[in-house]
Amino acid sequence: MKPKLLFGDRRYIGQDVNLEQIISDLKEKRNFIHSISVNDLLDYFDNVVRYWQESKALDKVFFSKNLVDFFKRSNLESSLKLALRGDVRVLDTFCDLGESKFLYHAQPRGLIVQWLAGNVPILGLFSILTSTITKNVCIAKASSKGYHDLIFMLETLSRVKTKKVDGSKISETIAVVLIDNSDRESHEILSKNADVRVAWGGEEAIKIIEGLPKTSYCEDIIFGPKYSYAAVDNEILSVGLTSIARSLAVDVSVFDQYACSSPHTVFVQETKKVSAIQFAKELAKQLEFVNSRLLPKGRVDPAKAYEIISLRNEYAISGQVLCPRSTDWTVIYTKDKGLAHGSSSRVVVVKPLNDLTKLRQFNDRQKQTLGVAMSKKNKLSLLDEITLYGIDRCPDIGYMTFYESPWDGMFVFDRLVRWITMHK
Amino acid sequence: MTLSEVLKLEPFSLSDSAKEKLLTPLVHEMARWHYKNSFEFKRICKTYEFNVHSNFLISNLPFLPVSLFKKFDLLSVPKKDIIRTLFSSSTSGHPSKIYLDRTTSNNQIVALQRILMNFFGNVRRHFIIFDSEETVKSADGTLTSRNTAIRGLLGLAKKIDFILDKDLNFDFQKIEKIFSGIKKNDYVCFFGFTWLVYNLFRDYQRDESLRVLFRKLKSSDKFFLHIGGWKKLQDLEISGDQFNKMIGGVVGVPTSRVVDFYGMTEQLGTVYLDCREGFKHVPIYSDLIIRDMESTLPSSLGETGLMQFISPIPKSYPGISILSEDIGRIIGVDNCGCKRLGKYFVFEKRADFAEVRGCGDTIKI
Repeated sequence: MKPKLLFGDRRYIGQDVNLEQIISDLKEKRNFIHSISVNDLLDYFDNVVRYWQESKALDKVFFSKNLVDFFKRSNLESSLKLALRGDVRVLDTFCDLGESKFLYHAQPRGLIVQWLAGNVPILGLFSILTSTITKNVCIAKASSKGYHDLIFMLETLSRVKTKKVDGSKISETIAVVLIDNSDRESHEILSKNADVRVAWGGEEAIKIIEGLPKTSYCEDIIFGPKYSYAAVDNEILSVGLTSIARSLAVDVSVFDQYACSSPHTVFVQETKKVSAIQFAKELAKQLEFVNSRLLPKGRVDPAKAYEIISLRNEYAISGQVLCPRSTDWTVIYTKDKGLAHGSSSRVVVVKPLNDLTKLRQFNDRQKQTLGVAMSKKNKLSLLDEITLYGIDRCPDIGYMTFYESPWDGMFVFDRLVRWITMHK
Repeated sequence: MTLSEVLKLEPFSLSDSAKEKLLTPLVHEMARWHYKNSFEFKRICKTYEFNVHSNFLISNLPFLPVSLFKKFDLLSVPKKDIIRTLFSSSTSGHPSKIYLDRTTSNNQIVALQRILMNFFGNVRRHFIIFDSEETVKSADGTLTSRNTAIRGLLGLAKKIDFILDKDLNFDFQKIEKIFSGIKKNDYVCFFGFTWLVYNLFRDYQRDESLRVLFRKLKSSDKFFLHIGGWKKLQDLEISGDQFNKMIGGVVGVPTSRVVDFYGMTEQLGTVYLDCREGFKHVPIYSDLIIRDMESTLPSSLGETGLMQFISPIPKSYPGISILSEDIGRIIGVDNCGCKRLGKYFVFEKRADFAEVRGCGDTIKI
């Protein structure tokens, strides 16, 4: 299969394309995107969010609240400001950042090449638009599965026009292509032309992308395979059993645990009144509620269904299993030490753990999100030590799968720019 | 009726409803046995709130996935009563371990022989095995799936010959010698593992020497029986028809007599062979339920799903209700063109992963 254009130059959409031509066309748009002020871009994205809300476009995609929260001006501007050393205007001109000798300017790196994963299709939208707000042009290789939501959302860009920014012109700075995984030649073309390579994916995919030839000046941003889990302390447990279980049920059910930020294990610091098994029972109740009322589970493939049934039987012997007859969700209670295997598809393992400082031993760079339901005092006193060797985020339970900046321990906006200095 | 009495009946002689009446009390009895004697089986029943002492329907019996036999030593009799341990073939590196006592082993052999005789006639055949003699040797009472299957055939055989050397290549001299001793009215059955047979024959597709050699065999009543390894052939995109034509063409057996044989180490004895119509039949010694992959409820006739096999034969291990990793479909009940009664089905494929791996690919913890 030859590379196919899914989004970009309207003349070629759905057709086999010459990648080098697409890349050359995108590079020509660098001046255009560079000429737009960051203020106008923020304004444009705020209007895009408004369009999404008013046109009901968000009804058609999953996880829309996160999209709105992230791209509305108030959040985008503050995230950008934080990542760019306190002043978003560095994207437009040289700015005084409070240092005595220099003025600073953040120039776009150029062509951002992205390899998107299919497990969470909408993550690609965050990734692509992050390139746009930093005034880069971008070409993304979509996953062969689940790209429809992404393209649908990208198509909304051209329907928004502000006084200063024409969305259809913004669209021309982005291309999304479908390339066969075995088409190494095309992947090499993408890689060799990249100023930044952004790779989302599992271990195997990441290794392949890392092995593609690139220029010496190309920056790599790797969003590789990650594991996430949650912890509940006894102070919060004693006052909020139902609400924590409900929030965790949502975190488990969103993306069916296929996101890197989805929890697979939850450690519970028991109280005299609430045990871990009671928490497991409440979580089971809430997973059923979420499945029947909020986020019905999609189809599972046969091997996954079989794996779930196998796990249930395995833990029926060595622990306790709470589940419906269907494979919709599964809560496993066990006293086994450590993190449970992440099987996904709404299988969550509850374990008692009285000393939460022991969480530290589970963490390395492969661990991403630790969802917490902890008192403020515990957060401040424990999380520094717990996250020394790993864990990039400690959001409250209920917000585990929300994309935010920084992500995977990186201020991605910052990684997409080159810093230029000038003597005052 | 006791299990011994049922095993004396012809395997496809009862309608499905008559079979159910016969099988249900036997399954009740054996489920209660395992509940009493297997800690693991009892835990599973309790997890699914299944009352083993009730007058339950067979379709409500909890099922044990084959993977459980890879992770646990499942026994329902004292270990001292075990006479043989079977190991399944394994692509994962962890084979199933099946512990057999004398009762279970004998009943499995009776069931196997009754089913095979139904297909191949009540005659002892000369079995020509596409394997090496080394395969059936067991020094310590443990058996692999290959030697288990071959040993199961011994009781049906007038004679057995192996035609591969220890490196699993054809021993041409030996084959010539064996063939020269076979007469026209001798009954012959070739037997081999599907993937092994395919690998052997693939190399001779354009080489006439093997075809010429097999044409020297004088027997006029031949079958080719093959078992297992479909996953490997699926990877190579070889269909059952293609396989049968390829093999039949070389060894001189009509494709209608090239018979695929489906069975599980976890329920040895109850095997499922292709009839002349191309369907596999469920004998009165077992039952098949197709499970919907999402709801796990029994599927309707004609729908595909995971295959659950129920048999009252396993006594030394809790293997009476096994969920296989394979996907199948029941084609009909009591009305197959081959006149065998009971359910008949097709094996479709191994359950494959279709899920998308991405940054949520948690790899191994």
